[in-house]
Amino acid sequence: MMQELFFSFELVKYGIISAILLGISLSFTSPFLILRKNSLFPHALTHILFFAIIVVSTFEAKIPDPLVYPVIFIIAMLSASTILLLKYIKFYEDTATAIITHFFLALGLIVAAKTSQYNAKLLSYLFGSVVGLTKKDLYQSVFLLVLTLLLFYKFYPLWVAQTTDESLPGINFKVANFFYLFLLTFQILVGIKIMGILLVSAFFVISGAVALKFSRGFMPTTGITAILNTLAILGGFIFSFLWDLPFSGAVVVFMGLYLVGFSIFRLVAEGK
Amino acid sequence: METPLIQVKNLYFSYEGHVVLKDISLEVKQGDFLAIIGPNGGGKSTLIKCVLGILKPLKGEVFLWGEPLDKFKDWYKIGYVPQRAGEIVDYLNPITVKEFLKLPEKWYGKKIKKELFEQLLDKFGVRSFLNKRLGELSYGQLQRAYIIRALVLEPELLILDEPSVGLDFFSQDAFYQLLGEFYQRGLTIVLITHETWLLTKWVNKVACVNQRLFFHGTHESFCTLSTKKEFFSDYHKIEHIHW
Repeated sequence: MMQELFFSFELVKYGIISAILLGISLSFTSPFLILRKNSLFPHALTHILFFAIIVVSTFEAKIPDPLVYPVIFIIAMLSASTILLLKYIKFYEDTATAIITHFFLALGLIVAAKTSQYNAKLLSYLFGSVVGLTKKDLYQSVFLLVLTLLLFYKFYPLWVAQTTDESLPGINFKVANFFYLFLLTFQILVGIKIMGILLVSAFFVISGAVALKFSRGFMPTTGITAILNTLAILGGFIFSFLWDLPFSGAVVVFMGLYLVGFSIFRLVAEGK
Repeated sequence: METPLIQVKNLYFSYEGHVVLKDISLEVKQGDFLAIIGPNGGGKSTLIKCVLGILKPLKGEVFLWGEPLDKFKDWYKIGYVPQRAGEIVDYLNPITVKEFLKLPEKWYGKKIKKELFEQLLDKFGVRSFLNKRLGELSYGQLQRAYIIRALVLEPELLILDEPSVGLDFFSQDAFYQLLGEFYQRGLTIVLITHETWLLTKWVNKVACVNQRLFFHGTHESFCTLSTKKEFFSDYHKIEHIHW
């Protein structure tokens, strides 16, 4: 049994290590989303990226390989700016997020249907595939983690400021917010391959929310989120091996156990 | 001639087509303790936000220490406590009070003096909850934390927007005593308040704002005005202010 597990790991090692690096990277951004009551924002971004990926894959043959990701990225960032338009016409943040989610999912499906991409490839976008990841994807995750650490070091005081202040004299949040959006988009782009469009946003919420319940200080929150994400990936891998489950689904179900555990802990603690 | 710390010239501000501030001009000099009073919705907080560059005025100019607002760089010279400061803090917020109080160091690139920091903790009685999460604090405790945060970089000017809202009477009294102490040590203070009766001891200038600047002068001249009601024709609660 153990031998089989190690053999399975050998097959998906790039995927699992990439996922762990992604999980650590997300622990630096996800607590801010929860504190700013914006947990659904990554969900909207995944749908925007879905649209961008479908559009780019229509013309993939005409785009040189190194430019594929930048083009997806640019389309996604431009599409994400429609949120600003919705904010301008004064929709609530969650309403704007919901509108964007549905709108870009609809656009993506229409483009997929009209360009004959309604196939297995579409399913791999939707649900991810840990098996298909290569050394190149691993390097991408390493790059993402390094970039996350650099941007976190640079902008942490301004990101954290927005959980305690709407505005501050002499401080312009625009640049910090742009890089936050940039980083989220990049994290989701990397995460989509592993977890799929439908489940990658769970990574941004569950572990972070649990960590925020009992950690003291921002860095400990980040550390606990990173540990919970890593455990979920390893646990999800074992679940998917034991019961032949899809990896992304198994990871999210494993994260669900945190919530069950936390609820039991609360009940016991309050019972005392 | 002494350069004013704040100089506002013919400032206008409108929001969604509604005029909020109209032709406001005023100065705050070193050593002033200015109380800005006026009815709710009269534009007091908006005026301060325009002064601090948080809101962009429609017309007019703002100078800080003689420099135009867009050229001003020494923001550490200003401590600011916004209106209902703690309301934005979520109960899940894990940042400890200690982390929170040290944030201005990173925002404005100026070191906090350890002695001053320790002194402030004692004066405002914050030491007992220094390692608590912000999300665990009561409104009054949060308010104290915001006030200390505004003072940690030893500002020359402290701007407070209704800082005692949510504090009980004894805490308010203690707070204003402390404020007076800082004023006596040379801090220039701008205070938006409705509690003028608590301030007669320290306030030396008063500005009455209700879209326009109805009065700007010394506290004494304000107290001797015979027809105060004309300054607030639509300020129907004027009787509740103790001159």
